[in-house]
Order: sequence, then C-alpha cells, then structure tokens
Amino acid sequence: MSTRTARLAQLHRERPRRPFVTRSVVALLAIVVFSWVAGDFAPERFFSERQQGNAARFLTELQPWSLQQPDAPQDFLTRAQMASQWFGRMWQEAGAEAVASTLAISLVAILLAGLWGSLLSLPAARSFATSEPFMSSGRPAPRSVCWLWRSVYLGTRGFLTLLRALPEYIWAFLLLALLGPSVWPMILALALHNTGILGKLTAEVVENVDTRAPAALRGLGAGRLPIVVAALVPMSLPRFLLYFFYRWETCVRESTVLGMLGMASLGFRIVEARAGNAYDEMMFFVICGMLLVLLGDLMSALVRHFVRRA
Amino acid sequence: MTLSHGGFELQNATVLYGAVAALQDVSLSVASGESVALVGPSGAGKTSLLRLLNGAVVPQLGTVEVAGASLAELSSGDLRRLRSRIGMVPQDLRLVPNLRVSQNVMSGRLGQLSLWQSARLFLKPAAAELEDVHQLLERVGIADQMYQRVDRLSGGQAQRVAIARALHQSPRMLLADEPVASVDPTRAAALLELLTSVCAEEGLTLVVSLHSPELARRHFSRLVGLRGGRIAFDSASRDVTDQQLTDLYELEADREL
Amino acid sequence: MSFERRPGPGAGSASGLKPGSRLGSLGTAGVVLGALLLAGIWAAWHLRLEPGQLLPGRGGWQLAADFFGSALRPAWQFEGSFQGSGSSSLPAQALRAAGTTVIFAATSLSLALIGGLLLGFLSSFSLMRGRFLRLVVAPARLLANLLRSVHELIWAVLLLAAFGLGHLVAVIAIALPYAGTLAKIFADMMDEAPDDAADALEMAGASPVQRFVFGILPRALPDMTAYTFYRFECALRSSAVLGFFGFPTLGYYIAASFENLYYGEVWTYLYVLLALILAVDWWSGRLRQELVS
Repeated sequence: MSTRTARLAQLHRERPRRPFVTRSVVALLAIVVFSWVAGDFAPERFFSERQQGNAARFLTELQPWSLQQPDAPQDFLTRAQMASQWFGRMWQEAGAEAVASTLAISLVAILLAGLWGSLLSLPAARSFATSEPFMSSGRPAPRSVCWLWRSVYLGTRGFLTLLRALPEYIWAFLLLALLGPSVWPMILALALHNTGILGKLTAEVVENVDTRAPAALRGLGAGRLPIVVAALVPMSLPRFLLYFFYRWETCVRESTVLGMLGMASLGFRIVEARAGNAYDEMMFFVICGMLLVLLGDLMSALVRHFVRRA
Repeated sequence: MTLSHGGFELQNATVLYGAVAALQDVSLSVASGESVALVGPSGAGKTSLLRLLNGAVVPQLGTVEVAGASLAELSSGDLRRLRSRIGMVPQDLRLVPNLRVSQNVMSGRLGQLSLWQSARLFLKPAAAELEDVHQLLERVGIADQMYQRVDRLSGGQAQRVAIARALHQSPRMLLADEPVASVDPTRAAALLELLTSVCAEEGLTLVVSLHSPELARRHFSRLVGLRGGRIAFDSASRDVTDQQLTDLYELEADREL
Repeated sequence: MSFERRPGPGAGSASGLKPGSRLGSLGTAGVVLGALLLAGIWAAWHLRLEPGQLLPGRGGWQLAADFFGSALRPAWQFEGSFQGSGSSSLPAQALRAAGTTVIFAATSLSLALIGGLLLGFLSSFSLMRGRFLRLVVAPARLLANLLRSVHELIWAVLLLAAFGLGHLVAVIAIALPYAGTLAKIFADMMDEAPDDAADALEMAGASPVQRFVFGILPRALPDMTAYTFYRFECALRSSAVLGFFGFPTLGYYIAASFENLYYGEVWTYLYVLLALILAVDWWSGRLRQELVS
C-alpha cells in the first residue's frame, strides 16, 4: 500500500461527520420501510374490477345532477352552460354564505391567535423574561427572583408547546363538547393551536431583535411597558406580520374542514352533501374550498410582499 | 475534446452593460502556453475581459476566438466541451460551501463526464480519482483538508480549493480573477508562484487579473494594462514604466487637475 | 428555529427580510393593522359572535369539570366494556394506536416525498431552464397548488366516497396535499439557493442537469431535509385526526372514548399523542439546528 493510499484512508477515517444527521435520516427511512411492511394496506383492493367500477361511477356522480341524466344534452357548450348555471344557483343558495363564514372564522381565529401569541411571546422570550431585560450587566438579582423568571419563561414555553402539539381538529372536537354548538369551538381551536405557533415564533423574533435600542431605554430607567411599546413592537412588527399571514394561510385551509364536526362552514356542507349522497353538491363545496384557499394564499402572498418591501 | 492549441484571440470586442461600456474595442492576442497578467484599477474591465474568454459574456461587437474557434459560432455542445478545458478561478470562488473539499475539486471534471458517471463520482469515487485529487491538493498545499467542509476553511484555503478545482479539469487554459485578493502578501506571492509554475510545467495558457502591479511585474513576463474598458498598454513587464503604471491607477479627478 | 413559519428557504433569511429591517414608516404597518381590524369587525358581525356563547351551559360546566378533572387521572385500564380492536389492556391499545398513527404518517410522507420531489423539480426554475422547459413550471406549480388547496380531510372524504374504507385511502389522502406542499416549498428552496457555484460549474462545461444536481441541489438539501422532518410531525397530527373518519389511529380512540364519557381513557390517548408529537418536535428541532448551523 503506498503512503498516499494509507494517508487517504486515514483522512477518510478522520473526516468530520455529523452522526446525528446521518442517524436521523437512516432512522426515518427505517420507520418508513417498517411502516410499509407492518401496515395493512392491501393495495390490490384498489385494482379489483368492482372497485374500479365504483370509482368510475363516483366520478360521473361528481357532475351536476342534470348532466348525469341519460337524456342530458351531449354537446360540450350546452353542458358547460348548464353546469355554470347550476354553479351560479348553488353559489347564491349556499356557497357564498359557507365561504364567507369559513373566511370569517379564519379571520377571527388568526386575530385572536395573533393577540394572544404576541402577548405570550414576551414571557416566552429569554431576553425579556429576566430580572434585568436587555441588560447583561447590572446588579445581580436575588436568587429567588431569578428562579421566578426562569420558571415564568419555562412555563410559558411549555404552555405554548402544549397548545401547538394538539391538532386543531382535536381541539375543536373537545371544545365543541364543552361549549356546545356555535362557531366558537372552531374559532378557539384554530386560535389555540396558532397561539402556540405564533407565540413561539414571535418569542424568537423578540430574542433576535437588536438589543441596543431596548438596552438604551433600559439605561434611561424605562420600565418594561415603555420598552415594549417604544422598542420591541416597532422592531419586531414586520417579521411578526410575515408569520401572521403565513399562519393565516393555514388557518383558512383548516377552517374549511373544522365544520365537518357539525358547525356551519364549508366542511359541514361537504359532509352533509356526502351523507345525502349528493356528490355533485359535495364537489361544488370542495371547489369552493379550493378557491377560498387559493385566494387566501394569494392575498397572504401579496400582503407579505407589501410588508417585506416596506 | 483535444484542442490544437490554447490561444485566445480578441478582436475589437465591445461589452456593454446597459448604457455603460465595460470594454470598448479591445483587441488582444494570447499565444498558447503564454502567461499574461491583466492589471488596472477596479472597474477597468478586467473581470469582463476574463469572462469574454470563456464565453460567460458575449461581446456586442467584435469576435472572440478560443483555440482557433469563434465562440459565437460554436454549438452549445461544442461550447461546453471547450469550456471543460478552460479552468476558471472566479474572484468570489463560487464553491459549494456545504460540500467537502474533495467533492468541490471533483466537480471540476463534470464537463468531461456523463450524468451517470458524475453521480458515481460523487457517491463512490474510484480510488484513482481520490488519489488524483489528493495529489492536486498536496500541490496547492491543503491535502490535509481533503474531507473538510468548504465553509470551515479560511479564505486562503478556500482560494486554493478553487484553484485545485480548475486544475482538476486538466485544462489547456487557466483564467484567474484576482486570485490573491483575499490573501495576505506573503501567501499571495506563494499562490502566484504556484499558478505560474504549474502552468509553465504543463504548458497551460494563463491569464490572471491582478489589482497589484508590483505582484504582476514580479510574476509575469507580459502585462496588459486596462483602464476605463480600453487597453492602455500591452508589453513585456520589464518594458512597463513606472509612469505608465502611475497613469493607469491615477484617479479621474486627479487627471483633470 | 423551527418550521411552523412555513419557511422560505435558507433559515434566517427565510422570510427575505433584511436583519435590521423595519417598516420604512409605520404607515405600512398601520394600513395592514387597520385592514385587519376592519376584517375582524366584519367577521365578528358576519358570524354574529357573542362572547356570551363562550360560557358553557350548566351541563357544559359539569362536563368541563369531569373532563379536566380526569386530566390528572388518566386511565390505565378500560373504563367500560368497549375494547376497540381487542387489545388486552388500555396501554397496549394506546401504543398500538400510536403505532398505526406512525405507520400512516410515515407511509404517506414517503409517497408525498416522491411526488413532492418530482413535482418540485418540475416547478423549479433552476432546473427547468431553457426556452421550452420553462413552460413546464407554470402547470407544475398550478398542479402543486391544486393538490395543496384541498385539505387532507377533504381528500379523505372524497377518497372514502370513491373507494371505501381502506387504509391506503388514508395514506393517499395525506400524501396528496403533502406532495403539493413539499413541491411548492422544495421549489422555493431550490430557486432561492445561491447559484454562484452552479454557474462556476456551467463555466467548466457542466450540462444544465449537472449544474443543478451538483451546484444547486447540495445547497438546498439541508433545508429540504429539515423541512421533510417538520412535515413528518405534521403528518403525525393529520394521521391522528384521520381517526375521526374511522381509521384506527389515535383520533379514533379519542373520539370513541370521549363519546362514551370515558374521560380517563381520553386523557391516556391524548397523553400518548402529545408524547409522540413532542418527541418528533424535539427530533426535528434538533436536526434542524445541526443542519442549518
């Protein structure tokens, strides 16, 4: 073995590695392989003749009822005209109201989440939840005070983590039983989950804020409230708004389904139509949901662009 | 692609960026195996000239001939084959920071490999390939960093990786844009020594842009002075006078006084 | 940093805001906040919101007390004769449900990853270069957006209606919108990855595909990996919720026990779900730290 080969082997052995990354990727792959093996998927069921017949029938039933009839006109233009008339009628009868309610639910929810999240972000920010915010030096606080702040910080973080760990749908399910039927369970479910997320993200924004301005205010003897109002809010607002609108996108998406639990909105209309085997109406509300989500994405992207440019 | 020779021929080349002329009516001939330094103040058009030579920039007027072929007339396949034999060390290095040194160096050879071969090169390089890379890294003085990630290297070390990547192409010509801009003076001299000696040994054509006329005079036999997108002088470095260099670097404002 | 923010690529630069950026004048923020306030007022009016509805009725209070009282006393044994899929003990059943939740999440993520990568490549301007290939990008992005715009639960309703209750239905219901999301985010990450090294490779004669594979992809890969792990966490949540539609994941048992008023059992399942999600949250957070630092 030449000296170069030996040296190369040594260099290769001693190469810097990131075992956690490698092991994580291997572990996830292993979980995937195990899941495919352990799961009970029976894919052949999908390809049975009966199954394909069912699926084909299902597809034709997605069309408006009048077009499914054997005596329905065959030429494309007439069919398209009939379909659009039907869509227009459906929209006036139920679609517009369902879309508006879904949108309104997402708006109230994200506004609550933004309010609660930004309030909770302060005790969840390491730089704020100390006895001397934004000042590294200064007299050391008594031990008990330090412990107090530390537990406030950890408690808030833990609370936010709990809020965001549970899916919106489960929150809504539990709240519906507790509060009874109204739109509040849907709103609160979305708001709680997103409070967890926005609170954590905003806490990170506050922690990453340039500390010179708040430290200077603190040096002038300003209390916590003036620091928040005069330094933290203006400095973290743009990024907060970006996150806020990102989360609004997902709120719109989620609010299209929460109604499935039985509360007025698109999701409710979808499961109601399905239960009545009115697949054409189900498809209509699904399309309404798609349009709403796409519209929400578009608006959110526009506002974020606007905020970023400012 | 075997090249009959490694010469460059620029004729009346003009490069415009919008309304601003980066190069105006530049003609330059570099013979195969020759070493040339481009000198001049920043904004003189050195980078644009180098980028003309490998077809990264296309002149609005005039022609560029490399190895006897006019770049404008090459098919995209031929242009790629030609480029695979022109090593380029860009001023900002343009390495992949989160890949290892060896992978960055090996990527120099992509132009000579099929997609399949290059995938194998990255996933499981042959022992001979690795030894080539190690030898090359030894030559530029960073053999021990072979498996280090590029973003963990110092500026000077990264500079050497970029040079090794260009040399790994087994080029006929080597273009280097300010290869010592981010290196301290002693290392700068050593790096230039390395470049010129490698090119001399292997008969490569070398065109280097340098901000410092002193370094250029010491390491190169031919200097091309650029100012305001035009060639101010083009002569053997021993014939370049101090006055010529002073004129070259003089500020516009001073000249008007 | 973690991923709930729907990150733009490149971690800190995600949102594209400059580090010290402020709203040029508070005017922009004012307009945005004012518009939000108006939107909120409209929404509250439209929904006829009354804070009074927030107070549970007398039954609600009793239920809340019972339910939250059980939080500290999760059950270790079945509280009724309901035995679900016939496990011998409640912990065994909870673990089995957690296992099914993971199985649905992992299989759907693997499908979504394949689809997301393919569709992401097609939606990426940095791969689809050239006069004709560029034309692929718009339809690919449209397809990704359409997949994404239908929530996984709606996909589940549609697929259940078409194919009936098979486990593969749940997997595909999650995989379809996740493929769209992954495609969109991956394409953004690849397009926002710096292309300087890729250009250097091109100048050394690399083909357009080589330029992408060896110049762009390695730079986007850490972000893409971290994001995939974050989506695994999301897939766990989606998979658990699909239980409400009859699939044997944690959601199924939460709903069943809740409706039988076995609150202790509900909390057992909730705690298992929380543990699962927090573990993966920690995992993906730590991985992200290592990948992006």
